[in-house]
Amino acid sequence: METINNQFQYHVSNWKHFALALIACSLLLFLSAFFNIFFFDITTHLIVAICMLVVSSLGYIFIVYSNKLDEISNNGVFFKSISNRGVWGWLLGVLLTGFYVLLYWFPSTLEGLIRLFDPLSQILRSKPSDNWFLYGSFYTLAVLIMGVKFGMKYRHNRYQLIRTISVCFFQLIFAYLIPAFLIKMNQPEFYFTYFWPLKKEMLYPNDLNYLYQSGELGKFMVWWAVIIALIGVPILTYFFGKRWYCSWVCGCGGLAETVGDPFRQLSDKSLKAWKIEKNLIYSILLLVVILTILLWLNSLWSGKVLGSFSLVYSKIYGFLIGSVFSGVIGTGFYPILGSRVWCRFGCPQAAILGLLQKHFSKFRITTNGGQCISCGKCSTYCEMGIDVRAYAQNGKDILRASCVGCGICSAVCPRGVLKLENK
Amino acid sequence: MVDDFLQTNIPNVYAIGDCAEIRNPNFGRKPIEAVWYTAKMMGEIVAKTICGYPTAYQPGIWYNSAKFFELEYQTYGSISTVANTEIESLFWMDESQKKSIRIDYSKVNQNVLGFNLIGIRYRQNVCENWIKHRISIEYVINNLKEANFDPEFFKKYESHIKQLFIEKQKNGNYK
Repeated sequence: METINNQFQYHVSNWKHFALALIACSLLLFLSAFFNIFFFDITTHLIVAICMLVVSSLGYIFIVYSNKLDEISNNGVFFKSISNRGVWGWLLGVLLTGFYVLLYWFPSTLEGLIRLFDPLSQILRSKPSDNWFLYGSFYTLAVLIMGVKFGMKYRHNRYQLIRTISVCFFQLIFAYLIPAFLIKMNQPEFYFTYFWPLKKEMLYPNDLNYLYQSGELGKFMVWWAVIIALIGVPILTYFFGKRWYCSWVCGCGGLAETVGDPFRQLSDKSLKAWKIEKNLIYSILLLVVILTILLWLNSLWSGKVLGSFSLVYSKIYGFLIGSVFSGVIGTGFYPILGSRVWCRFGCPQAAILGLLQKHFSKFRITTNGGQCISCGKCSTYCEMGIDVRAYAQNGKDILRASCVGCGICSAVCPRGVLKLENK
Repeated sequence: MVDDFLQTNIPNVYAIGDCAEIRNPNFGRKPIEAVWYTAKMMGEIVAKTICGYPTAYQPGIWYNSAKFFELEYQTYGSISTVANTEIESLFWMDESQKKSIRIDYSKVNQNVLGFNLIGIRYRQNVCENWIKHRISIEYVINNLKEANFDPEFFKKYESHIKQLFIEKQKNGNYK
């Protein structure tokens, strides 16, 4: 008897079985490293694990997407366990959250996996691996593999293809290879695509001072950090809206768009969520601004007035906002709360970019309102929980602080009602 | 049967949607239009009237849209379905045969009458303006990109269509 629930069973072919089996094998290789069991020498074990994972997942992706129609298919997304908070969704959520907890606070438990990446770390950084290198490697691998999946799913939409290539490029080159290379060259480990307040240290007095003292490149980095945060951001946001960063450059955004794509429909669309979002995100912005000012005051007054208060404040902020919110909840909760929890409820960069977008930008989503049939796909797949349909039905432009310009609403609209424009 | 205010022959009784036949439809519209959006428009009109602001039903130019599998379809204005000696039709299709544009225009006055679009998105207000103000096909062909509503980075076809139109003018027909 075919019920609604099982009409979306996969039609599994032999090749699909094979690809899935290979994926499972590659994951087992990583798992065995976690338990310090190496089947070969570390280098071979790492190469085999990564190659097997890449080849099998790419194979699986191509098999799944090769005979689909030339359109975006979200068939069964609310019936599949992984994408609708089912058992698989929760399992994945627990796994991701668990990994983050271990990574941040119990890195010694990951010793096996960390040592597995020693060979790669030696090549890229000329030093042994550590928990952050492990994290960066997994992160970049995830963005690239799921970036291919995303590209296959949305392959008939050039905006999505180019945007995904951009995000994969910035993650691989600027957020992984360049920082590693800087370490190899004994230069400060610097991330050109992150700036204050997302990476708040970029405008901290001690950090800037350290960079400035470290050499010519360090001086350049200081100028870069200041200019991009205070001049580059407003100018780029004026022309393109917040999307130039949140959907095209930022690594958090990159992960959210690639790995988080299967979960975008889980974002909360309620007015209550919007209210919490506004209160939370601007509060966090205020916190980080106060924190930065406190640190500068403390530095200027040589710690006489504030003593260690600013440092305590900094530690608490770093723990709660930087680690728990941004890392553990932000990514670990993808399968439960959707892909952009940090971006929507916490990121102070998003708060600033959002204010600029709303009041000082040419970007908006224009609507061909008469053709809107009210299907609601735009609102369903909006990862920021914006009720796009309401704007479309009334023929109004969507100009919202939270809109990251991912373009998915426009891509899934069956009647061509939405267009991202810099008017 | 209803009048311009969608009122039947009985006072304070209105009819909207599939069951309403308009006695004097606007130019370019039909007496009965049983499509997805007309009922909603009629409903809004009657609501205004009932609330004390008598409003006549004035739909703009005819339009519609649909999607068949992966093909998006949009239409604005009127496209003739039979050969017509007074109407000229410019038809362009891309190599993949999944995108096409048809523009009907008057042979005599050269003003555009309607657009059929498959796989390409157009702005309703631009097309409506062009049709309402009887803009010439020449102007439309030269300013086609004003109507384009495709997402950024999508391929642009305006120059191909212009080429086709020029050939058509030259040869009296194309291909």
